[in-house]
Amino acid sequence: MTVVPYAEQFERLKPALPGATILREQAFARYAAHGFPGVKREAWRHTKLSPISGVALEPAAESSVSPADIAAHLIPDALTLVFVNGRMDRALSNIDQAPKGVTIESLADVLARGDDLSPWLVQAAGDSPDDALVSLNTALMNDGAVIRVADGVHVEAPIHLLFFAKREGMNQVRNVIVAGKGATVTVAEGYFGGKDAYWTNVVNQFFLAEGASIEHARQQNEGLAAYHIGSNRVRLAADARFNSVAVMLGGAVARNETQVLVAGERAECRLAGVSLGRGKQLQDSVTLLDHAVPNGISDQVFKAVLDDQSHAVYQGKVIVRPNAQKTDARQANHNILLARSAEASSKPELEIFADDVKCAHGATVGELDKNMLFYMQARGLDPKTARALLVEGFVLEVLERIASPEIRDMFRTDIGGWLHGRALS
Amino acid sequence: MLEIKNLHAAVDGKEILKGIDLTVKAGEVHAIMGPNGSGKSTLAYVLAGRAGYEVTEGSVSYDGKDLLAMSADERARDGVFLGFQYPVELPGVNGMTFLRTAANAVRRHRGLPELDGIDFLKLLRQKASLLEMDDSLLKRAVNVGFSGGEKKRNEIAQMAVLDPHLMVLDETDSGLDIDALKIVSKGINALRGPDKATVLVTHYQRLLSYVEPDVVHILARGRIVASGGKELALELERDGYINYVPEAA
Ligand SMILES: Nc1ncnc2c1ncn2[C@@H]1O[C@H](COP(=O)(O)OP(=O)(O)O)[C@@H](O)[C@H]1O
Ligand SMILES: [Mg+2]
Repeated sequence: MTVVPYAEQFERLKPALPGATILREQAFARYAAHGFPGVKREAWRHTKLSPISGVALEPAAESSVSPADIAAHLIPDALTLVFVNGRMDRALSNIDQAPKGVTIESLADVLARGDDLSPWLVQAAGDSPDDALVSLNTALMNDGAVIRVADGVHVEAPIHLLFFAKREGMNQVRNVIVAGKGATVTVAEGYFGGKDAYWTNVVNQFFLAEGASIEHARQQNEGLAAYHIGSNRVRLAADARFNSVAVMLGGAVARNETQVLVAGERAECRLAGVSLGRGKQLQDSVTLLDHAVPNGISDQVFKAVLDDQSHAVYQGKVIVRPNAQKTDARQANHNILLARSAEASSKPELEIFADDVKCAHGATVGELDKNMLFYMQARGLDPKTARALLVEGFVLEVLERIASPEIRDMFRTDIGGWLHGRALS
Repeated sequence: MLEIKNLHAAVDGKEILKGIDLTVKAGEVHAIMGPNGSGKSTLAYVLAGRAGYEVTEGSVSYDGKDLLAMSADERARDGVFLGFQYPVELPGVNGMTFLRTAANAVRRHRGLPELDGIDFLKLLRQKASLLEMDDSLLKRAVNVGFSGGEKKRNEIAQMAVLDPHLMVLDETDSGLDIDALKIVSKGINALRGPDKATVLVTHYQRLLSYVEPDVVHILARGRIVASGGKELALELERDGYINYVPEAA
């Protein structure tokens, strides 16, 4: 038997990993049965992982950031958790200010004190070869956030998880977010890093009880040599609502995968993303919407703007199970290529087993419209400004889905900065 | 102000303009009329500097400068304004942001200080009210979901804000009802001045009774085949182009 990457690390590291010993062993076995998903797996066709599967990385060394380093990334009045190289920095976090009805804790703390999170954690225990890196995360998870919002509690302040990567190595992060019946909460994630080659492997689990609502915003601005694998698992009970917007700018190879189980009737899931690619970046957005019950709504919009030789992928699969009548599932994927050498791959996929459903999908790939550019130039805008305004206009539809004006502005600033750095000529 | 000499232009290798001579002096309004497909919009695009409209012969001077050597955006900043026959929709591009960016590009070029949001809004309100335009239109994405008439009014509102020297208006009157036509004409007239020039491309004499031209030209098959006073427009209204384009009968 060939030894899978990370086997030696797991044996060596596990005594020091916080709690969940049995769960970790089981998860490692599931991972080891398949190893890293290769490009032969349809869902991983474009995500070339050889640099992180070939040489097993060590956990990134402990490091620190200063308040000045993080200032630009903060959301005003948020409950903020700062993680550096995958470990929570208590001094920079303010979770002790969480209001009544909300508990926000470090995953390492929760596991170390022996709290049993397994009812939640095992729900990401998929057996498919495609789930191998989620299993590896369960085996090696080091820290993350555990957020629990009690029934009926409306959390005003956004909860902001900020991750900074400062060295090479791997960061195995696990976040668990549980929203009780009728609870509402905003959860934002931000990923930032330096020039080092590192790997962030993050698994987010969202559990929404009846009538719960989560606004989720994700800002992936890793360093350009980084590998970022984000796996989101979302479970919606009846009348729950999950609204997610992800902006992806960083990483050499970056993936944001979201699997949603619409388990309760009348639940609504909105997934949106913007990828901005340059250099040789690969940015992969993968979704799986599983409508298991009637009257569900899912609405996806993913957009990419691609320069140089960058490549964006959208793979969106919608399953409508036999029982899931009156499902309304929409998916749209639109791409703009700023350079001829850039590439967009689009693969919306439908598996429909119910007859009374509405499913729509559309995909486009094109350049910026020459008519539009000429019209703008005819009003005095230089080509670079005209292109930037058109790109901002193109992604606006996605940003407008973000409920929080502060988060929307933060994302807009990121996108503006990216555009500013482009030649766009 | 504008001097076009023996202008030949081709689109996709096909010659559309076949030797145009036209001189417009400061303070004048010239109307260009002609049947569909005669090259009116092509002429307008060539003046505005659209890519793909290749000048194969001739010259255009604007305020003594070689207009053809300038890029489309340089021309616009230097005071050339094209009112589009079909104004373009810009999805997601906010009208205020767009026009303020444009106005400030023009102002920088003229050595004027840039306008901040508040001063710009004042200017815009003033110009929009002249055109009896609802503010809310300007806050939306440029031209998106506007009616044909709203788009044309928006062109003139943009023109009023940018305050150009040479106005080239391509069928700004088509698609307007009589009330809108009067308002748009008022907008155009307000921008006329001794140091400005206007080229009105139109099909109809109607506009010319509100914006009185000094000279009317007939463009047919890429050439100016007749020029005269405003009575020429009345003649066309009565007889059509039959005397100028025999097969148009
Ligand atoms: N992009 C183009 N490609 C090829 N032919 C064109 C293009 N645009 C215009 N033409 C042709 O050029 C001629 C003049 O068109 P145009 O200038 O739009 O006329 P007008 O505005 O007078 O109606 C027409 O025969 C038209 O078919
Ligand atoms: Mg025309």
